[in-house]
Amino acid sequence: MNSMKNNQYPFAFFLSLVAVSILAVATRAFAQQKPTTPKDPIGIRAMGTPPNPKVQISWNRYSDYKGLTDIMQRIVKAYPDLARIESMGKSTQGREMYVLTVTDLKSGKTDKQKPAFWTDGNIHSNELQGAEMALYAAWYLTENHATSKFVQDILRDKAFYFAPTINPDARDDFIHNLNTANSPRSGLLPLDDDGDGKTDEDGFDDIDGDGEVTMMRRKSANGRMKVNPDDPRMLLPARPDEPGEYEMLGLEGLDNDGDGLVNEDRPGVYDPNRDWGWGWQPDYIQGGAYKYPFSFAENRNVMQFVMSHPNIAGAQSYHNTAGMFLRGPGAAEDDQYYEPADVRVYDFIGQTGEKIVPSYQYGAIHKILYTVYGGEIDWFALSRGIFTFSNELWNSYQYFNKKDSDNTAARSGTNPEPYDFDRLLLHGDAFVDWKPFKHPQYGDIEVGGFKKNYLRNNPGFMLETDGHRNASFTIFHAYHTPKIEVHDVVKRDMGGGFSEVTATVSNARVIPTHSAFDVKNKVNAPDYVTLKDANVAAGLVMTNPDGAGFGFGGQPAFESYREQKLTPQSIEVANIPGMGYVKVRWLVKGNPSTWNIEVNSQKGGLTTASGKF
Amino acid sequence: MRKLLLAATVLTLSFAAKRVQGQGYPPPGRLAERLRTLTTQFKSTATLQSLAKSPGGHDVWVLTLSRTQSGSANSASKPALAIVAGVEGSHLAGTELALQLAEKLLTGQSRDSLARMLDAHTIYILPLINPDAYAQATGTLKYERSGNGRPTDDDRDGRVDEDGPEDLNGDGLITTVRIEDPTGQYMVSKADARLLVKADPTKGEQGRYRLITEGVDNDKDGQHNEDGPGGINLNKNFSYDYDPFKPGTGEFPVSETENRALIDWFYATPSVYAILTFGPSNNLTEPFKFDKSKTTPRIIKGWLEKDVAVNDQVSKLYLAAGLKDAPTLPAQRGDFPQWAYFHFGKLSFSTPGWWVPRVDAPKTEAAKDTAKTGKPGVPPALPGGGDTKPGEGSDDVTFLKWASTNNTAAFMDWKPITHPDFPAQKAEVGGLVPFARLNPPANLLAEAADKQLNFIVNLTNAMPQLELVNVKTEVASAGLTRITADLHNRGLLPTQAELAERVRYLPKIKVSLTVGNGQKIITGRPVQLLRETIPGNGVVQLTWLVSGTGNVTLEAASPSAGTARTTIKL
Repeated sequence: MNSMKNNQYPFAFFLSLVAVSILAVATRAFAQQKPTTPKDPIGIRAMGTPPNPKVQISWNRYSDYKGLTDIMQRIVKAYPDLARIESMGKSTQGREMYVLTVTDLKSGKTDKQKPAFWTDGNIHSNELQGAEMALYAAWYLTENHATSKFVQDILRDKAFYFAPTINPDARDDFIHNLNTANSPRSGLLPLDDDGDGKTDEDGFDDIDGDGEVTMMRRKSANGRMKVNPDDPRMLLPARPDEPGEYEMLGLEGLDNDGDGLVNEDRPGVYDPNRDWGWGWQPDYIQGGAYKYPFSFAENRNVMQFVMSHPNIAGAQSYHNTAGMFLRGPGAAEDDQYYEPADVRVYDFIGQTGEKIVPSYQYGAIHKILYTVYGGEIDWFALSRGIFTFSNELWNSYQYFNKKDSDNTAARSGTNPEPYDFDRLLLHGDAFVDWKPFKHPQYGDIEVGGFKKNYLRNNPGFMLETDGHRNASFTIFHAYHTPKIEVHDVVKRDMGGGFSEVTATVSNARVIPTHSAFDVKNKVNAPDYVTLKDANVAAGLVMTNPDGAGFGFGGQPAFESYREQKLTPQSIEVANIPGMGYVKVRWLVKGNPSTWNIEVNSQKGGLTTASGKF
Repeated sequence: MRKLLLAATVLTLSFAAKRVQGQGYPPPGRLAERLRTLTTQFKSTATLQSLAKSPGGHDVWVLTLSRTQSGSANSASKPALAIVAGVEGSHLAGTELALQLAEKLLTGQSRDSLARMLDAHTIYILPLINPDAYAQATGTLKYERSGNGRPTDDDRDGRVDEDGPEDLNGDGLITTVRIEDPTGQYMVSKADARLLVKADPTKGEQGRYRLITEGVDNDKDGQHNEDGPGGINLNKNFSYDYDPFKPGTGEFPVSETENRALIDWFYATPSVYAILTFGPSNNLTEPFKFDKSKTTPRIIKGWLEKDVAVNDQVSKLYLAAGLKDAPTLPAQRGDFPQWAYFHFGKLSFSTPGWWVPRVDAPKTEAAKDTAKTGKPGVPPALPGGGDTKPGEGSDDVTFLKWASTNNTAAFMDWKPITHPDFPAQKAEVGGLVPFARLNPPANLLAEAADKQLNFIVNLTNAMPQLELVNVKTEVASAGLTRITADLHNRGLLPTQAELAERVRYLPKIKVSLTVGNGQKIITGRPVQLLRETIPGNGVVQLTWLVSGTGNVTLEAASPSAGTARTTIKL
C-alpha cells in the first residue's frame, strides 16, 4: 500500500480492495446498477462534473435559508432513492433545521446500519460558504451516482448526513440584515450584552443608506492612519515619526440607546461553537459560552441527532477562514486524550487533505489556530468518539496563490491583497467607496469599506472550485470510515461432540470502529460478532493478533483468547482496528456444516455473512 | 435453602426493617403535600412552583418565602438567599432540614428576627433536586441510590441497568455481603466486631473477607451491582471539574433536565445573593484557604482572595449559631456547590446540615480506623455506584456507638446466606443500614434545623445593603451643579463575590441619574453599570456635572444587593 504512505488518493488501493471483497468468503451482494457513461447534450463533458444534472444549481451564489431548503428539496425530489430530508428540530426563531441524508436507500440496509458521515456548515452564521459546500457534496454524490462506480459503492456502504446550516436564524440575519464580514457569528437568542437590562437595543446602523455596514473614519491631524498611496481606499498606520491624516471610529452605527457607546448591544453576541459538552468553560474563561453545554436550541438539536445516530463514524464541520483542516483538541490539556494510534489516523487523512486542497494546513486547533474550550470538534471527537475535522474554508492564499500571504491581516483588511484582488479581478464590486457623512455623535466623517460578503466568503467564481476540492476531502474522509468484512471462517473438530469455529473480522479502511480513546473510556458500545443458528457452548475473543505481541524471550506469541461468559454466541469486540482484524472463536455443540455470522458495529455498520464449511 | 433462611430470620429482620421505615422521611408525594400545606397555611408568605419533572415523574420544587403584605416590594425584587438540598438524593437529612427550616420560618414569623428577615429578603428553598434517587429511601426496596430515573449504562458495557442489587435476604434493604475468602481484602475491625476494615499488610494484617454490595453478578463481569436502575448522579453532573465517562456522571455535563432547570432558574433569578447547599460537602466548618497558584491560571481552581475572606467571615457566623464539629467533607467533581461558585459566580456555602455529634474519647482503635482512611463522613458504598468500597469509612465505629444510645437502626447483623456466585463459600448478609450514616431519624433533626435557622438569620443580616450617603451639591458655576454622592454598602458582606466581576451574565449595580426638562448631564453618564464589588462597609464615589435647576433623581440598584434612591435639588 505505497499509495497510502504517499498520502495519495489510493486508486490502486481501491482495486486491491475490490479484489479482496471478491475473494471474501461471503459478502452480501445487492443488485447494483451498472454505471452508465454520462453524455453532455451540447458538447463534451468536463471531467468530474455531471454534464446534464437533474438538479440545476449555480454554484456561484449564496442562498438564504429558503434557498438552501429549496435545493435540498429539489435533490430529494430528483433522487428519491438516494436522498431524504428530515428536520432535527427547530431553531431559536422556529426555523426547521434540515438534515439531508444521502445514501443508497435501496441497498438493503437502513442508514443507521451503515457507517455514517456527518457534515455541517455555517455554525458561525457569517461563514456562509459551509452551507453551499455541504450542498455541493450532496449534489455531487447524487448527480454522479448513475455514472460512477466509486459513488455507487460509497453510497451503498455509507450514509452521509448533511446539515448545510446549523445556524439558520443568523444566516438569514447575515444575508438580509445589516452586518459586517464578522457578524453576527452568533445565533440570535437575544442577550443583554451591555448589562443594562435591555436586549439587542444598539446594533449597527446603515447611516448612509447604502445597504451595507462599513467603516467610519474622520479626518484628523491627530489621527494615526494615512492613505495608502498604492490604493487610496486603504488606510495604513502612519510611521512612528510621521503625522497621520485619519482616525478610525469603528463600524457604521449610532449610539441608539444614549449610553455613550456605539453598537454595543447587537443581536445575539455569543459563540455557538463554545457551547458543546466537552471541556466546556463558562464565558469568563471561554468567551462566547452561555449557561451550560447545549444552551442554544440549534446545538441541542445537533447533539440529539448525533446521540441518536451512533453510526456516525466521521464528521466535518465547515467554517471559515484560514485554509485549515483542524483536528482536536481545542485546548492543550486535552492532548493527552489523543492517543498515538488515533493521531496516525488523523495525520493520514489530514495530510491527504493538504494535497487535495493546496495551501490548506492540517493540525490541532490549539496548535495552529487558538485555544477553544467547549468547541464542537472536541465534543464530536472525545465525547462521542467520532473522527472529526473542522474545515476552515477560504484563505488569502487564493487571492494570488501567494504562499506567504498573511491570512489574518487579509481578513482584517490590513493586507493589501484583498484591495488588489477587488481592483484587478472584481473591478471594485467588493468595496463601498468612502463618502462624507454628518454623524449625529461624531460630526463630519467618511463612511466606506469592504462589503460584508467579502474577506471571509469565497468570491463567486471561486466557490465551485473550493467546494469541489473540499467535498473531495469530505468524501475521502468518509471513504475511510470502517468497512467490515467476515472471512476465513474455519471449523475444527474438538472431540467429545464439540467443534471450534473461528472467524476473522476485518476492517478494510483506515478508521477503526473505536478510537483508542474510545476503547480506553468505553465511549461507545462494543462491536458484536454473533454466530447465528448454532448451539454455542463457549465464546472467545482474541486478545492479541498473530505475531503482534511478543511472548517470553522476545518470541512472537500466538494469538490468545479470553472467554466471554455472558451471551457467548454474541462476542463483544472492543475494536476492529483500521486496516486490521480480530478473530473470534466459538465452541459449538455438534458438527455444523454451515455458518451464519452477523457483525453489528455502531460505527462499522451491520454486516452479515454466511457460508459452508 | 434461601427460603429456609428467610423463614428463620424473618422475625428479627422485620423488626429491624420496621425501625428503618420509622426513620420518618416522607416519600416525594408526601413531601409535596407538606409543601402545599405550607402554601395554603401561609398564603401571603409562601408560594410553590415546579421547576421540572424528573425522569421518574417527580416535581422539582422551589418554595418562595417572602413577606410582601406589609411593604411594596415583591419577592422577586428583594435580595435573596437560596437554600438547595437533595442534589445528592441519598442525603435525605438535607431535604428534611430544608423543609423543617421552611416550616419553622413560616410558623415563627411572630419572632422579630424572622419577620425582619422575610420583610427584607426572600428565601428560596429548593428542597429536593433529585427526587428519583431520594424515592429509593421511601420505596419498598431501600438502598442508597444517587442516580435519577434515566436508564444508563453505568459500566459502559453496552447494556443498560443490567446489574442492579438484589435483596438476597428479603429484608427490604440492600446492605452488603461478606464472603469468607483467603484472597479477601477485609478483616474484622478490632473496635467493633460487626464492622469490616481493610487489612493493612504492612502491619502484618491479613484479609479474610471479600466484601460486596448485596446482590449477584447478573452480567457475569466479575463486578457486583455496578449497573443498577438509573441513573445520573445529579451532584456529579454539573460543569465544574466534570469527570467524563464515570458511573453516574452522564454523557456530558448538565445533561439532566433537573440540573438544567435548576441552572435556568438561577439565571432567571438575579436577586439571589448567595447559595447554601445541604449536601455532602462542607466549607462552613473550615473555610477554604487562599491559594494563589490556583487562582492565576485561565481556569481557576480555587476561591479568589476576597471570596476566601468572605468564606471565613460566614464560617464564623456558622460556628456562632452553635453549628460546631461538622466533619470536613471535600467537594466532589461535578458537584452543585462548586458550580455555584466557579461557573455561576455566586458565594456558595455548603454543609451536611446534620452529623454524628463528636464524642471526645481517648485514642481508641476506632480513632485509628478513622485516621487510616482520612475520610470521615464520606457516604458509605452506594450500590450501583461501582467503585466504592463498603466498610472502609471508619468513623462507622463512632456512628454505631451514637446509634446505639439514640435508638437508631444502624446495623443489620451478619446472617449466613447461600450466594449463587459463591456457592462453596461462607457468605453473610449484613452491614450498615442504608442511609443511616448521613441521615438520622427525621425527628432528631429539629435541633439542627433550629441552629441552621439561626445561621440563616445571621447570614441574611450580614448581606449587603446599598445606601446613598454624603449626597452633596456644589455650584460649579452659575447654572451648573456638581453632584457628589457616596454609594455605601452598609452590610457586612460585599455586594457580590469577587469572581462575579468577571461574569458577564450576572447583574451589575446600575446607577442612574434621571434629569428632567431644562436639565442636562454635562459630565458623567445618565446610566452606568458598576462591575466592581463594593466590600462590606465599602464605598464608591459618584459625581456628575448637571446644568439646569429643579430636582433630579439618583438611584443605585442591584437585584441582589438592594436599591437606594434619593432626590437631589440642583
